[in-house]
Amino acid sequence: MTAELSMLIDVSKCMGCRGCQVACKQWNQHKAEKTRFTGTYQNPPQLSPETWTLIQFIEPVDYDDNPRWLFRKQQCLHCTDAVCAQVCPTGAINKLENGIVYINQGICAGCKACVETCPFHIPKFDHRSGTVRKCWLCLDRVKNGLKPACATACPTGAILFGSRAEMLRIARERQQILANQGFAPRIYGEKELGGQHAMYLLPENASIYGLPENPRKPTEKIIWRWLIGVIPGLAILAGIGSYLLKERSKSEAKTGGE
Amino acid sequence: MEHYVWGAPVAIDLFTAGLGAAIFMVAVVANLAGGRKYRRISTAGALIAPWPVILGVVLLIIDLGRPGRFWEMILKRAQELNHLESPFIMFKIGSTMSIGIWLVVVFIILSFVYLIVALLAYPFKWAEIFQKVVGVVGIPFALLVTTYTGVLIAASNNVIWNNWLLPVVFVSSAIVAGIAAIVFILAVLQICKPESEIGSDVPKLEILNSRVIAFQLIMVILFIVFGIGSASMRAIIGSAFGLLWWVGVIFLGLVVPLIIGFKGGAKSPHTSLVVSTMVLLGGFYLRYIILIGGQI
Repeated sequence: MTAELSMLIDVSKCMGCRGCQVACKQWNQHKAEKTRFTGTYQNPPQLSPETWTLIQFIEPVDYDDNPRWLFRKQQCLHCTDAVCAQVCPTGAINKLENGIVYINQGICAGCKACVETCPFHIPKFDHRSGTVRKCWLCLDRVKNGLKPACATACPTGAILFGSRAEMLRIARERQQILANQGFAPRIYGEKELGGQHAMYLLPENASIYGLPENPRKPTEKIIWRWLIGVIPGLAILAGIGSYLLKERSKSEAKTGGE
Repeated sequence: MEHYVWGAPVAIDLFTAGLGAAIFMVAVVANLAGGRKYRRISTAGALIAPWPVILGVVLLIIDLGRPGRFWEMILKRAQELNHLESPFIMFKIGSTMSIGIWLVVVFIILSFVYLIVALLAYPFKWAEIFQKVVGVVGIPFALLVTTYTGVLIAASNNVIWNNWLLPVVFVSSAIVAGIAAIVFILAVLQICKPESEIGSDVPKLEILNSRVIAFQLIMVILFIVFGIGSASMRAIIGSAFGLLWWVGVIFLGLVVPLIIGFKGGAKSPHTSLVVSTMVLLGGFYLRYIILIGGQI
């Protein structure tokens, strides 16, 4: 049994240099994207088949009108309870023993079920390859004992990679330090969706960083969705049947039967 | 040109898959309730039920990024990174799409068997019992195919689709469209053969459909009320789509046939033809607007 691996993104240490973005593009041989300035340094504006990680620039305004500048590295969080792998009808998406959620590009038929289901909107459909693509935590590097490209490039130690237990230990230490500094830090991904294999250390609320406070699988309680279709459907059919029966006996009474 | 993750082909599939399955259910119920008395309804339904579902499957395959890999959803293969035991059938109970594919496959087979026995039952009385049996076996699959179109997009990360009433809206709308499709066929045949009585059940079906439409209308209104909190829902009903929604889907597709049905049905087969076409178009645009509007 391979040890569970994880990435730890210490948001409090990120300075928004975007070295990780560049490293990701270089290692995975992704093209640059032509974009337009939209009033933020966040660039490209969103994840794409060619951009698997992205520093999100967040500029909330404080109570005393001071703008703040927050950064979060967006990427696949490699959930244990990975809904993308569950809804994939071809079996192209697999959760590996080390925790990495991987899309096999040789199998993916491009149905986009995962794109429509991921609670973090991570997988993106690639019109050129006809498949869905996303971060694979540099599986090729990891298999050869290297860290993912982004973790290697990060100059501040905001992106750490190693065994999940080790990452959780470091996260708790940092959480304590930040708490002493007056923050209310949260380890995002420790328990969320069965535990993620890319965890965040967030100095404050998840929603400020554009993450759902309580991420849920859209397929939760799916049996109710089926029942909400099937039960009224049966009722309508019963109604149709009784109407037709009534009409039949009416006309039979008129004509004296067939 | 904006790219939607799921575009027009999927919208058509959501409509036609539900339509074909609903036609099948209406035909079976008519056959069970009336036998030979309603055989115009049940035979017309049996004849047309499989084709929209097949069209939907073809469009779904076309919509794939890699249409040639459709078989990956049907058959398993040995995979380097996938430790799945069974080498044969690709079926995942957790994947709505996987469930839907198999439901559709089974439904298409059953609807063809039903077509054959329904045709046999016309001249041969002994085939009638087979028609009833195949119909009863097929109903659960047809109902699940209809529901599947709603569950597939309801269990998603999309705020418009992720609405608890979406499955019932889709199911009721499919049955309304299914009845309208049978009305359409019978009206066409009546117009082609004016001296025949082939369209004699049409007013009955229109009255019946108005009852289902009344239910659907309530569900659609509740669907909007449930979703009105989201900006996308307000965009749907207040934007360029809004005109199509209110005039096309709600007024022409639901309110007009509702009134006609409550007044005892259309007076001529030509009117029936026009009204049933409006119902069918309304059913399609309902799904189109929800699918595309949900992605804006």
